Amino acid sequence: MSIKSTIAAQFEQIAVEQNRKLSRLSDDLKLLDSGLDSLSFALLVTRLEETLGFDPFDESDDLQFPVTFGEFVKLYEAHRQ
Amino acid sequence: MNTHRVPSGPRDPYPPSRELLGWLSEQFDRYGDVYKASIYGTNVYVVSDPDGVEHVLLKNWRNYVKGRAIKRIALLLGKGIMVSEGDFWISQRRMIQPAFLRASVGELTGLITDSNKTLLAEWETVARAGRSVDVTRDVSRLSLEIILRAIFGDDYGQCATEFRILSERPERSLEFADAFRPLAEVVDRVASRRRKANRVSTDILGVLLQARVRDTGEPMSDRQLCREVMTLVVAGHETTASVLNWTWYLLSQHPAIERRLESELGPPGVPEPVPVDELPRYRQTRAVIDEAMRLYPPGWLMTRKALSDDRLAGYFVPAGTEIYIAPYLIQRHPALWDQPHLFNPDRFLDETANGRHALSMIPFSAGPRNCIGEFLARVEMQLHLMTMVPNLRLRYASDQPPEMVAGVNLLSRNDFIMAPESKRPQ
Repeated sequence: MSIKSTIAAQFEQIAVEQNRKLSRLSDDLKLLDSGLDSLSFALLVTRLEETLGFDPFDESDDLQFPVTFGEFVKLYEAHRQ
Repeated sequence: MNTHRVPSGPRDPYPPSRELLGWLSEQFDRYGDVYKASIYGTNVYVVSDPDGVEHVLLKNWRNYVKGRAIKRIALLLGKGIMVSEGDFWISQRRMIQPAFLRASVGELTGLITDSNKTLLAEWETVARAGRSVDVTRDVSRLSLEIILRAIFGDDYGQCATEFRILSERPERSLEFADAFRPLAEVVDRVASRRRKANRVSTDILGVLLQARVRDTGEPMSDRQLCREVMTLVVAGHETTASVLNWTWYLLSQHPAIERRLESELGPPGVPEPVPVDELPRYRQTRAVIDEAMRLYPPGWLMTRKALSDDRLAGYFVPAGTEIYIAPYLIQRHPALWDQPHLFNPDRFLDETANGRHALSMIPFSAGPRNCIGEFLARVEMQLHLMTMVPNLRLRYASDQPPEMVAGVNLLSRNDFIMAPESKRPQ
């Protein structure tokens, strides 16, 4: 399973659990428009850490928060390498 | 003896459609001091027994790191003192602590009183016009101004406008986070100017700029400095504002207690700064603040995660278990507090209070990871009441009882709109 599909699956899972209406995930989808709230994102990052074994937000010392879904995925892909 | 005994608890997981505090309270009523629950897909022990809390926060604190809920803070503020762990946290705490020592806070009483005097003048003007004030908004503005002045000192004017977003947008949403994060650049700009000018200041930013890592002698990195300042702004603003908001509501509902407070604080007059050494004399005032924090602790929930297997209150705690400690539940625990839902500041004056478990009241947490700004917050809240209460009363204008919103902090769902009554002659 690629990182992107792992992340997408977690977006969908968290949206179901939190009763949020998730927008269609595309690279240019702004995270603000994704339908997830701040609590959902906290849960998402935690779940991804458990699944992938790392949290780029915790590990990076100089990080700009991603704006779009595509940037969010790239951030995780970059940290995997 | 079953060494792997686990606590009982609800079979069904926490339904996210429910408000978490209400759900936790219901389970507490049913399962008691320690129960197991599945919350956000994680095994959680909810602990409301002070001995259990003492174990997690003090006796075996090294086995417990901050829980997953801290991610919500981390995504907003980065790895500052609230979020970081281990040696890095110890180093940061050492560097920040001097700004919050008694002597440092003592230097702030003048600016705290001045900010309160400005608000007092505003509320008296409104009183004379026969209108109402938005107490929630105003105490939020006040506490924001105080923490910004304490941090930035003479550079307050360079930051005040940008940081106003904190009191203007109380929701801690993704949109707020998006607008808040760029403010780190404001901190960086002020810090850079000071460094270039070799300017030494005694405000909190000045203390952080002068601080050195004990082992290396290096200063805090620019990035870390910004994170810590942003953390102090948010933490120093919201919690104090929340307590003051609830305090005014409680006083408006309990005129006899308000009159006793007025009696302690004396007749109307021009407020003067009170040295911190004199503050303990005002026992009623401190009791009112404690009682407001008991009923409405801003940080209503703390979470920890067990690093290794442990035992807690006779139960087995597998590594990875999250521990939820809800000051809201503990501070209204019927076995710890007489008439726990009643606003009764006397319980903090009573001699029997001495026999109470120290961990039955934890609005600032406890142990090595307690709130670094507790003393400043207490001084700020006390000076607010000492400035305002002798000079005016606030009357709650609505028939509706307030609703709580247990988000990151414990807020009122709607702002408290109150009618001020000035006691000073015009």
